Amino acid sequence: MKAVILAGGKGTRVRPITETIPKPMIPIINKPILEFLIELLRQHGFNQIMITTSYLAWDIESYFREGSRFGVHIGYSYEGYYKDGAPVPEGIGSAGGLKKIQEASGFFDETFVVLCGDAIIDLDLTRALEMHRRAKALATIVLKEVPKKDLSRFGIVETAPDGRILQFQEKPSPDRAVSTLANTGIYVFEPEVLDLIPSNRTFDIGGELFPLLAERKLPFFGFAIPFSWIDIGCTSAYWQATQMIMRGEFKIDMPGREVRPNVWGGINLDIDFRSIDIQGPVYIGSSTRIEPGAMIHGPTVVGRNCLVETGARIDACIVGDYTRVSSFADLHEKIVSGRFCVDSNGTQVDLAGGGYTFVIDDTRERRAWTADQQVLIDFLRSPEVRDDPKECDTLTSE
Amino acid sequence: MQIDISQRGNATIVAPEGPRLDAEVAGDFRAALLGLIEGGKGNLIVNLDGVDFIDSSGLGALVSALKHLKQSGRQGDIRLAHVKPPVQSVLEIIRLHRVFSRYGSVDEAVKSYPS
Repeated sequence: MKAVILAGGKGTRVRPITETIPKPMIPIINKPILEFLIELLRQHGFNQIMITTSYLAWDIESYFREGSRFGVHIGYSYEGYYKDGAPVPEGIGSAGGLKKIQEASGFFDETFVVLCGDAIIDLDLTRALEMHRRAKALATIVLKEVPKKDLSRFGIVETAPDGRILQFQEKPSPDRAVSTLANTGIYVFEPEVLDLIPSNRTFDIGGELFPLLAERKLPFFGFAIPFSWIDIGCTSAYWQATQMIMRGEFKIDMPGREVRPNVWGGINLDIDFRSIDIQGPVYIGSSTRIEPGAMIHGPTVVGRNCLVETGARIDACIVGDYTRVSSFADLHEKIVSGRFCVDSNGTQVDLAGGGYTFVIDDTRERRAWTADQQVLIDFLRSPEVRDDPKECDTLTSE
Repeated sequence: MQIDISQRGNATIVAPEGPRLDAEVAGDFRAALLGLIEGGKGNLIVNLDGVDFIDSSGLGALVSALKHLKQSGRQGDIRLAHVKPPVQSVLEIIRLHRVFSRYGSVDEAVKSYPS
């Protein structure tokens, strides 16, 4: 069976993370969002998967290659062009992307599924396909009940009792909303849908194709199927998603092995668990060193090749790969890497731009401190700033 | 850099004009604080109302002044008023919120010093 994943977006609302990683490659406990989706598709028998790419396309294409490592066949449809040897992303809209694939090869010759590359789901795709077929639909949207307070974040859909779609509302205020059923960006299409999409121009599924289906009174359905849907729509949603997964509210196969109760890790860890204060759930990526006297409280994910120094405190954080968390750092509900630091509410704290690289940095950097930084470093080492020595008593023992 | 200095009761208020307290202006800021301490002032309040961003030089200037004050043996402190969220986050991350007491207004900061 065939599927397509829309993965070309710039992920503007997930900046600064998406300045160097395309949104579908954002790691959730060290595994890209896109990999979760490909695994789900494979489990439901979808073995031919097209991925539309544009922004930082090479990051996606070089990771998944032709798909054999993931048990599927993967192809890419790049949206953009090259100028002076450099790629220039140029999106053509979600529907435009499907049309481009179809015009190139006629790939969609059977019922197919469309997923957005910015959410982790555990949807029973087989059931969605069955509902679509039973309704003899041309297009089906998978809907999800959302709390009233969140309605203004979504496209809201009103359906007839048989599931036929009556109307759409784009991000309505809760008092204006006609229902509490949100468009999840998961669709089942018949290839004939693509005939409605104009060639060679930007065209959007939600904003243009769906109104066209409704206007022409074509068999267009929406079904609410219970499933977990973790949308990584913005930076704070990324933090929340990781927290939920680490707390076990969305089940995934944890990578690595459980090295201590509720603590998972990769290989080549340099950690003396007797000398650190660690409280799960915590995941620690391979080749990370955690020095004695560091504190890590979950839910926290520490990436690969990190260094967490003596005295560092990390609580409910996502720490990116190759991050040095110095002994001066006290991180609570943050997403950090050598490049950025973001609060769980999405507020950026410009540590790198503010010269605070002695607090958080890339482990591979070699720096000399300026006189001002040295003044701060000396002061931060002084007893009036250091923690109460009693904290050492909290170190765990086996 | 414009730095307003005023006296309220027995506290001296230092208000750097924002929005960035960074390497470009940290020297003037440090000189202003050290000048006040040398001149016998001890109860200092830094009004950060206009400051959205403080880099390591700006914070270094504050720390230098505090150390200078403590080493002088004079009674007093450096307290902060109107600390905005980005500055507060930096202080918390590097634990300097334990060192610099913060107040929602200059009035509150003034009252925090014994009259």
